[in-house]
Amino acid sequence: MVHALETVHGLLKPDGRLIDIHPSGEPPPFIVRSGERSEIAGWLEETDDFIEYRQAEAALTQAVSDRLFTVERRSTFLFNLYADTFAELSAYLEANWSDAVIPSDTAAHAKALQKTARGKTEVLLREQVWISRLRPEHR
Amino acid sequence: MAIQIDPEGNEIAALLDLAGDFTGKNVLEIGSGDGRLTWRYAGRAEHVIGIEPNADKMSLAEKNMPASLRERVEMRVQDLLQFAAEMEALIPPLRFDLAILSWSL
Repeated sequence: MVHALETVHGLLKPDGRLIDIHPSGEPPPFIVRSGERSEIAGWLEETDDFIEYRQAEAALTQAVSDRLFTVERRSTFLFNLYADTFAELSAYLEANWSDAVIPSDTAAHAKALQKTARGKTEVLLREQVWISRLRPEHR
Repeated sequence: MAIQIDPEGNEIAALLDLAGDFTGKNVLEIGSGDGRLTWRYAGRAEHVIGIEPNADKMSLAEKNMPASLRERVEMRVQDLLQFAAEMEALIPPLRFDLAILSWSL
């Protein structure tokens, strides 16, 4: 990953900038919403992707320590996936996030919350994502 | 309801906040996937190259690219090392104002 950052460094103009976007590596919660009420049904289980996201963070730290880049700004945002039902959301994850593992108790809890809720519900998966702006250093 | 991905637009808002004005910029997006993020900023940039090693995702991107962006967005099935080697071989080598590592580091 540090090698990838070195490669990107070489592709930038001297006054160019790199924006890195990657999830925090913390398992994202499944949230069932009904009206104003939100309840966490459980979390997506740790997958290889989460390990890679933490490695990405370590690679950035290393690149800064090696004076390849300087972090100019950094912030986080929430990235939400919404579905009407838990089944719909899990089918989407199965098709698009092959590494995703949904614990059976989380699935059962989410379905129960939807079943017992009054009125319309929706299910969301909420990831916390890091975004950083980096300036290339020229050693 | 179909799956809605970041309907609040938090990702593009954070990108515009950190990257600033895209006007006149040559942008490289690494891991451009199906173009989900690309379409949201490309209209402001001078030129965008998206690279994505997954051919299925790239095929979706080609299919879904808005007609208004076809002049300024170039999508390639390529990994970063291949792409960098190709840019280095150009005379002069092509360099970018902005590179975006889009969930791909």
